Amino acid sequence: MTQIQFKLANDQQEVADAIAQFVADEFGQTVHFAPDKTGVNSPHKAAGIGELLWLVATAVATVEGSLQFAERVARAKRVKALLALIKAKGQSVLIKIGNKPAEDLLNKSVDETMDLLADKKADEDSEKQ
Amino acid sequence: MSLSLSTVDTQLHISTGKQPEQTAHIPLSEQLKKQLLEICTQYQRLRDSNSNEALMAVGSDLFGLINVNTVAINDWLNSTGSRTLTLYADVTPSNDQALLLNLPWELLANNGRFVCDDDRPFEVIRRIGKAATPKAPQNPNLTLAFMAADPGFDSKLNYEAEEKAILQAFGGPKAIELVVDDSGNLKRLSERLNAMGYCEVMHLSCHGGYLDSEQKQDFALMLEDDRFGVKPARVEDFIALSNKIDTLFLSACHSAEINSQPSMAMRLTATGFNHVVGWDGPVADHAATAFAAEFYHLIQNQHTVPFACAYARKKLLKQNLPHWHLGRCYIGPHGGGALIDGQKAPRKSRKGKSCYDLLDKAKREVKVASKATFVGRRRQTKQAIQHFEQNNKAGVVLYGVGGTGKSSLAARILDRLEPGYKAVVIYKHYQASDILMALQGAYKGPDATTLFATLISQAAQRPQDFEFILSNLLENQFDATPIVLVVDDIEQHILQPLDKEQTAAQVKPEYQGVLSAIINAFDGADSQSYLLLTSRYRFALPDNFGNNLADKLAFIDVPDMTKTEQLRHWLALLQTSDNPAQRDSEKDQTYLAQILTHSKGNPGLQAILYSPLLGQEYAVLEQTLSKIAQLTTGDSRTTRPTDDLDKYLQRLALETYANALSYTETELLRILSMFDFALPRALFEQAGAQLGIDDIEKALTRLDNFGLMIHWQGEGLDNHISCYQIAQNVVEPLTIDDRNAIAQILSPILWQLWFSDAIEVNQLPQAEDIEQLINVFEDRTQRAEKAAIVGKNEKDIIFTPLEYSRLPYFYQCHFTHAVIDRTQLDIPAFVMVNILELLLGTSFYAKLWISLTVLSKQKEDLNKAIIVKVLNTVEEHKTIAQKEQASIIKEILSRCAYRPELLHQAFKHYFATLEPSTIELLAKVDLTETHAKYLTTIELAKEQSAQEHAKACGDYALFLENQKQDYDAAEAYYLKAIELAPNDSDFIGNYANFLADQKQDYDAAETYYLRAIEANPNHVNSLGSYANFLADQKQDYDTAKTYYLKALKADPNNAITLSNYANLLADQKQDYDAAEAYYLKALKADPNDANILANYAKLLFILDQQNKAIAMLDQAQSQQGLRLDLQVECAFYRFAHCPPFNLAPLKTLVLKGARSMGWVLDNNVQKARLEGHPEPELLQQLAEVISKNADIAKLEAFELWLKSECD
Repeated sequence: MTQIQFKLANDQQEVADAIAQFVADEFGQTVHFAPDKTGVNSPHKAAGIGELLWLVATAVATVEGSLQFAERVARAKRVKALLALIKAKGQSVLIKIGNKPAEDLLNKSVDETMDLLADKKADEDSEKQ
Repeated sequence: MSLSLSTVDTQLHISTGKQPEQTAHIPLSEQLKKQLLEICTQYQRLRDSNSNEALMAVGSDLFGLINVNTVAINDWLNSTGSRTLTLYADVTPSNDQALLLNLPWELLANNGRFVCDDDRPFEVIRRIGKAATPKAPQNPNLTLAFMAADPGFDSKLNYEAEEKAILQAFGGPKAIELVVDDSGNLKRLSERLNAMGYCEVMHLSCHGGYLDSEQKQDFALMLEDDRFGVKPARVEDFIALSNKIDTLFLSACHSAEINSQPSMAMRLTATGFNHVVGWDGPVADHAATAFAAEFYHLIQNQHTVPFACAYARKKLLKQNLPHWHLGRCYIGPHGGGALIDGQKAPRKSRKGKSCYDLLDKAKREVKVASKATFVGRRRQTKQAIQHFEQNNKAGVVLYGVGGTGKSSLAARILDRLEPGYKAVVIYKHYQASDILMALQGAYKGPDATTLFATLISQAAQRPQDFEFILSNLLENQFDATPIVLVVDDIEQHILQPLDKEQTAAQVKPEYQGVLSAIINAFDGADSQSYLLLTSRYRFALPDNFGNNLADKLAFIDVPDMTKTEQLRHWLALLQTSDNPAQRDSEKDQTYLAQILTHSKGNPGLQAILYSPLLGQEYAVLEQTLSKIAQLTTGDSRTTRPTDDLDKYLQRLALETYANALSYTETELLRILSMFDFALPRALFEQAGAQLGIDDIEKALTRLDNFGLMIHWQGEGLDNHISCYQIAQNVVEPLTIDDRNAIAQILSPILWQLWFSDAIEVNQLPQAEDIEQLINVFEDRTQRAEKAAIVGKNEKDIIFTPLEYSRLPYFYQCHFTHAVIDRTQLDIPAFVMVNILELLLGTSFYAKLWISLTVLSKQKEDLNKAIIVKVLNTVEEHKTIAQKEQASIIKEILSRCAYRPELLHQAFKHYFATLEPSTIELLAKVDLTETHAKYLTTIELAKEQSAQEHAKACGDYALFLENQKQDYDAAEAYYLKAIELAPNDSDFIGNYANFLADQKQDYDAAETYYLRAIEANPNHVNSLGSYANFLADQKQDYDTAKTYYLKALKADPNNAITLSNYANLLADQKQDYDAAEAYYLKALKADPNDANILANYAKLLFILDQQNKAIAMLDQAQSQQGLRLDLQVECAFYRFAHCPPFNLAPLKTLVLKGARSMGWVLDNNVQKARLEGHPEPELLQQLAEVISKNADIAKLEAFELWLKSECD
């Protein structure tokens, strides 16, 4: 089981609701966003991001292992819808899976987000040079 | 600074600038012209020498000529930077201009030093036409098309060194786009250039010469035709290329030489090329190579063509190489500019990916390297073509270790032979029937279906006739349109594994007959057709006389690539990558060296390692190389590793690549791995989101970078992709549910992509039509007939050949993976699908109809109805299977020989509840092997009954005897059958025949005949066979007569017995009337039996009923696939009884070895004598040869025999 944390600005209630629905659909968990107390490591310090008040939600789910094809397709559809909303709002939504660095979903593609959620990333040193 | 020379009227103008005072005017008097001509003549005498001293004298004379305005010339000589000498001439040069152009200005010398021997370049430009604005370079990188021609391989040119030097010249920081064309043929090169659009330089390395050696007017480059013969290329042959090429480099002797005609280089410039570089006389190979290397080095660094020539000339002079002064540079009105501009934006990649082609375009099998990536192997190609043309061998075998490109080489050989020859490719299945079926595909005669059905049947019944059948086809059906029969990868099935001590592999016993027949047929047939085999090993194939039939073949070694070939291969591959010019060449070279070191000549591993390098996935490549290095540490061999290690390393590399993929990319690879055939790339692009992949292009590109996905080309295959075969095994397989879901997404899109034309003209079938169709297939008595009608008519009407060829793949895509409403079923999808396929036989159209219905969501009710029908049928078949196990097994075996997975499923379904061991047995055997099929049947029959077991053994014994001539094994199985069923007359009678025919053990045979008859006194076959035995072997005609009559009493309408009895009456009893009556009865029972017709004809000749006899012979000989013994009998009767006694057909057959052993011809000889036959003694001797196999040499005593020609 892996801990998944979402962190977003506190004025993004619509996105927060969408994430809660996503987590419910994907992992069968009910999550609530609460003001950030512990902090999530941000991958970078984008302008203004540090000054925002944050909401954090945590789910515990199995992300390892492979999905059935149909489940994966369904997840891809949900991810696409969620990302569309995040990009429409234009504000950062950080996701931290286990001990890995947090990533900003605002800058992620659907496939990259799918990769994050599957916890299967290309070998560290195998990025195309 | 520029110096120019031109002729105006009768004056020579020497200019160092545009101002009038900068031009000197020298009258071109006759004396001066004479002087200039003398310089030319002197130069022609000296140009072959390496005496720079003498050459300098010529150069000094020339300098004296132009040194009119000393100050200006000195300024020019001493100017900084490049010094240019331009010689101007019209498009059609005057005599004076031609003289000026012909002078060796490159030798210009002053004060004991060549002008070119200086740090500042000395450019000599021969400009044809009025100078205009130079053409601006279009690209930042150079495209060079290189072609060497070596007709007949006797040019002695070291063009490979020249090519290598050019390759090395481009090894610097900037890459080029290099197209190497191996054809040597201008037409083929032009086709490639047309496809490319534009290229900066075309470099031709070949001989040049005068076709009229006396007049020296007809100059041509000695290029090649498709058969490696000389194909001279003159100026006019290049005209169409002038707008596609900027610069022509003619690396050929005399290509810039002026005689009574302007030089080729000059005339080509006049046709529109911006630059042409050539040689003014014969040039040494190594000098030309060094010149080219330096020239391209400069061009690559964005210098102009004259500048590059100047430096190359200087370099040769410095290196003291001969002919340094012979290179000539002509430029056209728009010439003189740089060819490339490094500041330009890179051109859009205009080439496709590395594509695979097909060897067997008909069956769409056997993947081979495409023309663009297949380089080298010219020598082997030439050798093969030469053997074919000399016709001194039965065929050619390309042999070499795996992965060296034998099949690709075969494909390129076919390229050179087509379209005059049609390729027939045999792959995986090598039995006579497979070969005949493949030949049928190549034969377009209206009688194809019936002819080949007869021949296939004949070959099955009498395997020994296959050679004659094949020979006959080559001489007749394929006479006008010859074929190349390619038997590919014979080591896979036909050859036994090669032991370490062996130099040649043995042929497996079950393939000896068919391979011997093929070799002998091609050896003996008077035919233009060719035989081409590929094999990993040499092989040996002894005939009955101990000769090695393989000696009739030419073996051509296909070794690992040389270093130059490897480099060329890499460069060819590089051209298929995106933006080859933007690559880091130094990095490429470093990794390339490592790849070559680690792959140790293993071309498979090498190809796999090239992929990430091409895709610039350097980190993954490094990781892979490191893993391989760890594994092979301490392995100091320079030779290639074993096959097993090869495969392991290949898999290791692919696993490393797969691990480097992201989750999404891995999922895409898993989806691709479902299919082992090519699918349109658009299928995945359109299905992307439905497959849960948002950016499918990006994912496909990543797979491409690692070579995990391959591209195809060819008719119907453009823009098609598939998973690299070995890569299918490095990802986790999909579950049935996943496959089902994916297939349901892909099938409708694939249907649209592949069959949109057919969709437009056809409506979906109605429910009742489909039900009716299924009913037809369920009716076993009508199935074959109806299937043929439906299948043939419908497919021909509805589908194009391409669409038709795609149907099985569509079917596989849809049905193998998709399921009709699976919730209704309690059996796995593939079981239902396979059973459905069993029911539907081989009608693709029927399958398609059902596929269509499945795709139509509106027809769910019908889908359910089909499922119910299938399941009910399965139950019915299970019941039948319980009762008729043997016949069901046999039918399934016969119908599904090449579909082992279907066979396994069918057995599993019908018999699984009986014996789990059966399933185990079936899982182990390869049922595509005939032997394995028989042995499996025997094993299965063991569980049924002794009778079934005996029958299976008896059938196998017949197969071993008749088709394999493996008499020891046959006898063992005959005896086993008899042991299991001691009172079955079939087995006992068959064994008796075997004893008589094969072992000539007549006593034992008689014992078994009598035992068979005792077991069943009314057994027609045994009674008839025994009668034959008594007549033929014992000459006991009376007892024979008794048994014939017993047999006829048991079955009065048995045509064979009736005919045999008639033979006895005619030949032994001379009771012709009775014999005729029995022949007529036999013909009534079987009117088209060629044997009976011929026998009756024989009698009719004796009875003086010649017209009727000839009619019978005509009818007999019109039968398709007439046996050889009957052919020779018929030919004998015609020679004996039919004026003008044409011997040719009979002689042909006799020389081919046709005999009819034991057949009585004496009474025909006697009759012919009485009729006054012109050659009775020859006829007698022929009868001896045909019926008693007398020495054929005795026929040579007859003049008519010697004089007669064969048909």
